Amino acid sequence: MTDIGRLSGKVAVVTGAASGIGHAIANRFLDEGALLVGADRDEAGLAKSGLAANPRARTIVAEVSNPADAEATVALAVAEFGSLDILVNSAGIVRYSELFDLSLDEWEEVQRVNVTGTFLFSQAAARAMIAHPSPDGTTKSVINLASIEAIAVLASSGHPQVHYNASKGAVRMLTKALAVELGRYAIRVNSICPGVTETPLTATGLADASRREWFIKQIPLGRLGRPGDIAGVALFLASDDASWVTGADIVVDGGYLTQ
Amino acid sequence: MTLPLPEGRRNFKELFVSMAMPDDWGTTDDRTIPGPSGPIPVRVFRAAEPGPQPRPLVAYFHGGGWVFGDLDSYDSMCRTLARASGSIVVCVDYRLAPEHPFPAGFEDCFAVTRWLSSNGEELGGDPSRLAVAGDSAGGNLAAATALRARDEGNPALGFELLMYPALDPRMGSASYEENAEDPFLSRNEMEWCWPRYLGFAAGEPEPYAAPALASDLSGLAPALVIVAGHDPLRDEALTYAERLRAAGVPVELKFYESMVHGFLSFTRGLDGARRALEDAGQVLGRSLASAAGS
Repeated sequence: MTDIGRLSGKVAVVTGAASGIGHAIANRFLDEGALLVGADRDEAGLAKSGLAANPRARTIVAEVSNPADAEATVALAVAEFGSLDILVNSAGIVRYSELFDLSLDEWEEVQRVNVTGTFLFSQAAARAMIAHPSPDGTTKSVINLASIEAIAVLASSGHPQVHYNASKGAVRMLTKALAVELGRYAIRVNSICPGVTETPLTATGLADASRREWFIKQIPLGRLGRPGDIAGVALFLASDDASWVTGADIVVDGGYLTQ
Repeated sequence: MTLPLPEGRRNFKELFVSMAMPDDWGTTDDRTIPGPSGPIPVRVFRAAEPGPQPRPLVAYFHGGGWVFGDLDSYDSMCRTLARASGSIVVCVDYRLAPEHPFPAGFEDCFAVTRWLSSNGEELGGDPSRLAVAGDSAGGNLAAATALRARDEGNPALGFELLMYPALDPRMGSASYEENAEDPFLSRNEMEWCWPRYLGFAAGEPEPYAAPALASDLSGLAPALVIVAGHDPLRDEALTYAERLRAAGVPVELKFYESMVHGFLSFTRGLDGARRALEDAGQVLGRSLASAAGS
């Protein structure tokens, strides 16, 4: 067979699949032959995403911070496709209150989606991955979307989003702890730290032309990121080309953090 | 669109080869041309016997939604265009999305066009009579190449041939509604192709990615715009032709009301497609003849 894709036969769950980076990753995985469950809490967005048009895809409305939704999403993948090989935790939110206006509710909302959601889906997926080992002995892959805000504070709105920085820092370290914990089961766990990427999440901030230009000036490669730039790295981490990569955080930012 | 890409690309090639009337006119030469990210494969189509004069040059950019298509899929069409126009046609195997989103494929097409204007004699061509041509996604690349050639003042283009070009990612025209479920090209398929070309970016793309968004069309090369009636892309092609004309660009518009998207590739089964392709080649040849010395 010369016609197979890089993920043919592999079963993937992608959260946040209705838009932005998660949507691009879900599509790239389908293009490479994966069997896919796309999860998102935005039911209308999922319907509009076009994912369900692919016979190798299923979609499910899921709130990542809800343990039952994590279980149901993983169960759907196993029921439909018989296994689980790849999990991408891409669902994430950002909120903009500054430190002294930041309510406990807003703080907790961001941690629930970005950190607790990543934990719950990783836990549920790891159980299924261990229960359905790869027949050919290849590794399985968990990919978490952290951020360059897990490494440096951008303060792009004029002040830090302390809750967002805290949450993405937690995702980055959660990734490393999971990598250590799950290595014995041949499950690799890595994070991607995207730089400033043009998604619905960043649209508000990037609508300001001067801020946009300022970012582009700070990026050695001279342009903002696109979800497809992140999807290519996720494809690598999901594929067998990355079979000895775990616990890594891969910065994908056009060089922003290097200067 | 729902197959893994290697399989989808093989199917596209097999379909396009099978739908085209075989044409073994002339000779071909597969070679590479230096590009911004490495050598770009091309196929050069020309008459078996060189004529007494150097021939005009045409850079051809194939269709396939920026994701599919290659030199074999368009072999027959390029032979017909080369024969009917009396030109040397250079078909470009540009880099495809989603592995290589905009601007990769566009940069390949532009690099080949610029190379032809500087080095076309090497192929037996006359670089002062140079055109770009393309269908569907390739029509987008041809229109974008013409825009950049104008903006940078180089290369000088004598003509642009836009066959049912994909120009507008907003996908909001009436023809998108009327032909939403068209079996040859549906709205869903365009909604699948555009984000792959644009890297799934939110926000408005730049005009070289989406020529319909260019604010100024003045000073562009004279154009032949070919439009199919049963095609979601009908209206954006008509609008672009009107805007070219309003900007003072000489435009010929050919509207094939009964035809579908991609029809010029379906020459095996459609007499009308054979005639239309022949006709397009002749217009191209005449236009380049009159472009001589300009």
